[in-house]
Amino acid sequence: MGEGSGTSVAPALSLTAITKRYTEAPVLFPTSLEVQTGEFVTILGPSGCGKSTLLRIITGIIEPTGGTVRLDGTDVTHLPPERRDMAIVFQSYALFPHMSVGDNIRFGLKMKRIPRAEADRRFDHVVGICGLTPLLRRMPRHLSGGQQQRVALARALVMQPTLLLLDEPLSNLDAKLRDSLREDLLELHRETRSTSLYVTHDQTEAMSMSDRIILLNEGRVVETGTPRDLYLDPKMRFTAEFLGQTNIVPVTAEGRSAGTPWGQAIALRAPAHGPSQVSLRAEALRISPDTSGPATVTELQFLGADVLYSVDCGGHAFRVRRDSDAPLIDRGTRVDISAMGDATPLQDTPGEAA
Amino acid sequence: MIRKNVLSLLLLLLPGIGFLLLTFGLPLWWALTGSIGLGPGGVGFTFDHLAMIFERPAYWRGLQMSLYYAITPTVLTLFIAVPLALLLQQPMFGRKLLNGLYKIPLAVPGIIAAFMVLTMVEQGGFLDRILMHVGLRMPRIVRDEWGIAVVLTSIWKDTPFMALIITGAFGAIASDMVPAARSLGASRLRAFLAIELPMAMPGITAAALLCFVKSLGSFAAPSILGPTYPMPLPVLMYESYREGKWAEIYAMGTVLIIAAFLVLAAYYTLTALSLRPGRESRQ
Ligand SMILES: Nc1ncnc2c1ncn2[C@@H]1O[C@H](COP(=O)(O)OP(=O)(O)OP(=O)(O)O)[C@@H](O)[C@H]1O
Ligand SMILES: [Mg+2]
Repeated sequence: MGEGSGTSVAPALSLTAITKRYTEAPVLFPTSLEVQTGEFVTILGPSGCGKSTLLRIITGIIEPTGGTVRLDGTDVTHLPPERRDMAIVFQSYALFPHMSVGDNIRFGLKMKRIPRAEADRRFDHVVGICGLTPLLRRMPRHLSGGQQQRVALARALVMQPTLLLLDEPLSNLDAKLRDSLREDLLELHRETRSTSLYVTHDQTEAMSMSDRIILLNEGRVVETGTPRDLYLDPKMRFTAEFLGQTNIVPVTAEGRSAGTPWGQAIALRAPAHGPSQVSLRAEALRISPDTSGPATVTELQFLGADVLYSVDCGGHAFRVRRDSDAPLIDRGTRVDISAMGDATPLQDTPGEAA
Repeated sequence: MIRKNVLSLLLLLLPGIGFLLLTFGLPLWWALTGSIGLGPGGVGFTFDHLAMIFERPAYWRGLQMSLYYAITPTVLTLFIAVPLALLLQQPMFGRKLLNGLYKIPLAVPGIIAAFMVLTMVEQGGFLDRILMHVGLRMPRIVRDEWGIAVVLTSIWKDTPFMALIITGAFGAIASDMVPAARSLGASRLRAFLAIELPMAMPGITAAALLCFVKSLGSFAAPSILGPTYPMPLPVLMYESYREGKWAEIYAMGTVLIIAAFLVLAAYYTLTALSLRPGRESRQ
């Protein structure tokens, strides 16, 4: 994908080798990513990995130390925020406390001098889909967290930006509300087809909402892919561990085959040689009682739909998930263990190898 | 039952309210009653003393002068303190030093400030002698008709005081507010005018009010640096005191208090109006 590959196919957002250092240590190492028009992309990563910094660079609130930001193919790296066609929903919502809900939503329309008729049309539409009609005259301090979140979203959506940025917009809400607002957000995205870049540290949120996930750790992009690919076939150890629960299993690889600690040979999706690691999900492991088996059940947790077993196999601890309608296996029982399907040898990420 | 509750409530409040009444209410009451000729040593009910302030030119001009000495520096200081407060927010070289230095006038008592200004700007003073080297002279700003040196002293004293409060007001604005406004299309200036300034307004007006009331009662600077006629009411009060004319002191004090209260009342009415829900919305 060259630079001059035609304007019509330029991604909505493209970052090239963005770096940032505030004082000494870099917060972002050269980071590149793209978001296609209409896509819902999530940047997922643990707290402090540089997600908000990246979003602030994209909006122009802070300048990158190096690299280029392109919006619809145009270099906007040095444009001030008000001249970039994007809107952001902040982690803190950042509603203007001295303005009513209606004035908050109209603020951007006024600043960008959208003609009256067009402004009214957009305003009514957004207020409608966000369900804010009864709240228009309220002041932000008289709103619940979920209502504030909807106002912040409406204030951004009404701009009809080329790119909508969302910085952990659900992280300040309780679990129930988070679930229902997550669905609302997705529905809104489907309705508006807005190109969205969503930031979160919550892997469930990322997996359930995104077309694509960009996994970030310590200022570096670790891996990029669809939620399904990243969950089922991670290439990086960090990915495997960050998304869901998994077992990092030490294996001895020989080409496309690898020997597990319990003596099973599993197929590898990519060739490897010598000691290596694969990720096997708790639900990809099977155990069955067997007095001559290589493993022992050390712990079990009843979780409702399934039971999570901890087993010990030659000094390695593994977690195994079994349907709860299968007979329970008691603590101390010796079991046979086997893995279903194949696996990809994992690589360490540059930052964490040290 | 209810009566008993009210009684115990009153008893509970007595130490606080009683203290206030004793230390603040009582003198105020004396001043008010004294100004209409009542109370100990009074001549009997009369509005003569109050009327005198509005009839005799020395007092009437004195009241005007008091308001002039209070309003002018307050307004001028605002134009210095707000930019200074904004400057102090910017990350820049030497900010810590500036942050400490600008507060120095706060620690200088008013009378010393007045003498400092006197030695600086008087004709034949420090600045004058420097200017003489380049063949210039200081204009007359001590005991001049406009009380320029008095106003300058108030500005010098009030700038750090106001800037301190206003810096706090700007500092209390959540850090995402300006970025939010900018990303919605507001330029740096418009974000300031539409977001930061209104949000800091309660702090700014409070600072202005405090300065106004402080300057309304200022005594040292006008008596040292101001013109001999007209004198502001606080200086006239002192003169009356030396002549033992208590009724006049009460009358002038009452007028000053009423002036301050009128300004405060206007302030509270305005803020109450601007905070009324629904006013902000043009739905
Ligand atoms: N203004 C600043 N000056 C210095 N360091 C900063 C500044 N802002 C952020 N950092 C540092 O940069 C790193 C990344 O911060 P950032 O806010 O981007 O993290 P994040 O991924 O958004 O975390 P969270 O999920 O907690 O919001 C952190 O280590 C933080 O301490
Ligand atoms: Mg963040």
